[in-house]
Amino acid sequence: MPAPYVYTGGDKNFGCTITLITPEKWDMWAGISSMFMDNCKLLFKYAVFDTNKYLIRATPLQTGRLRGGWTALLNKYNIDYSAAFMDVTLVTGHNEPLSQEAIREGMALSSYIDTDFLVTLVNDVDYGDYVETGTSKMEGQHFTAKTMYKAELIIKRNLENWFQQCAEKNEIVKPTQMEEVQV
Amino acid sequence: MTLPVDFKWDSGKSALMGSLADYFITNITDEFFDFDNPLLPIKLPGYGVSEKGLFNMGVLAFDNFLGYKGGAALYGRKDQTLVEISAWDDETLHPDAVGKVRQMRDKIVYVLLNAGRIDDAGVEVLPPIKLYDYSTSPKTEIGVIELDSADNSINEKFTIDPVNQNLKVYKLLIRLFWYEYLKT
Repeated sequence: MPAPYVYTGGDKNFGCTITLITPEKWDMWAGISSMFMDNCKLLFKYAVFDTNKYLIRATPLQTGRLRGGWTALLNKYNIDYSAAFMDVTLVTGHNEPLSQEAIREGMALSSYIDTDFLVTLVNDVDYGDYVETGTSKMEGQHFTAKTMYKAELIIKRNLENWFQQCAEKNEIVKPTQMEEVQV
Repeated sequence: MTLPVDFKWDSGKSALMGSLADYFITNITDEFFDFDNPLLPIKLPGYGVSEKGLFNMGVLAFDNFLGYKGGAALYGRKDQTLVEISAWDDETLHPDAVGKVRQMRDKIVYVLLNAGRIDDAGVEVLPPIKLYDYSTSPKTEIGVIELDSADNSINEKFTIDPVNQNLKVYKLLIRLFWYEYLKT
């Protein structure tokens, strides 16, 4: 390093020059926070997409209106949810053909609040609440509650996978979108 | 058709729901329970208790209890499920139906939160929820059930039934864990 100080005499001023030998390391450490946060946001979004698709699968299917009400966020990001939409492995009672008109109605009632780490999915199909909690003559399906617990698994798995990738490469890597959790 | 003479009850759902039912009716003696009924109980005020399961349809989580896989019993593991407990009352029968179902809700939450808890004086508030195998006589203790300790283990909602608005209902969706003792 060059001379580290300059002494200017009676007024007792003091100067100092510091030179970084490896400025790229400094840049890396200075940028690591934003890099970490950017990738965290991406990881979170992947988990949201996965959760949203599971929510569609867990929602009972008749005409498709209620499932259509969960599609706005996925449409915004151009995420393919066609397989989840037609999946009936988690529900019972699908016994009539889908109605394109009903699906469009449901999609028109779908909205969201989308921020970095807080996403709210809103489904305004009017009978959704009855299907969720049930009535005195209809069993509640509790698809949002089941999805909430599923989301725990999805986020845990995504985080573990990402941390493992970072540890293997010894740097913060971009997370990869994973296949849906099969439980 | 009669049951075969060597019939063995190797499905666990009834046994495990039986353990839970037994615990509720032992510790809440002044209310009516209608088990395995997700709809309106046959008597009001009353509870409707039914399992919802996590996560696969068809095979509910409780079905795995005392289940068999490849001929081997599934012991010594932790599992989970969702159970819906609804407290119902009819305003035409009881004017304070709303207050009644809230009180019924409190009883369930009290029992679940205090099962197996030891208070500051070292006294057991309520006994733990034991798992019993009812396929043997007498029943044998083979595990324990507990409420998930996370703060989202109880999802609750008060609603007015849309079909008959005189019916008031407090719905609790609870996540239960259970542990089967290792078979020695």
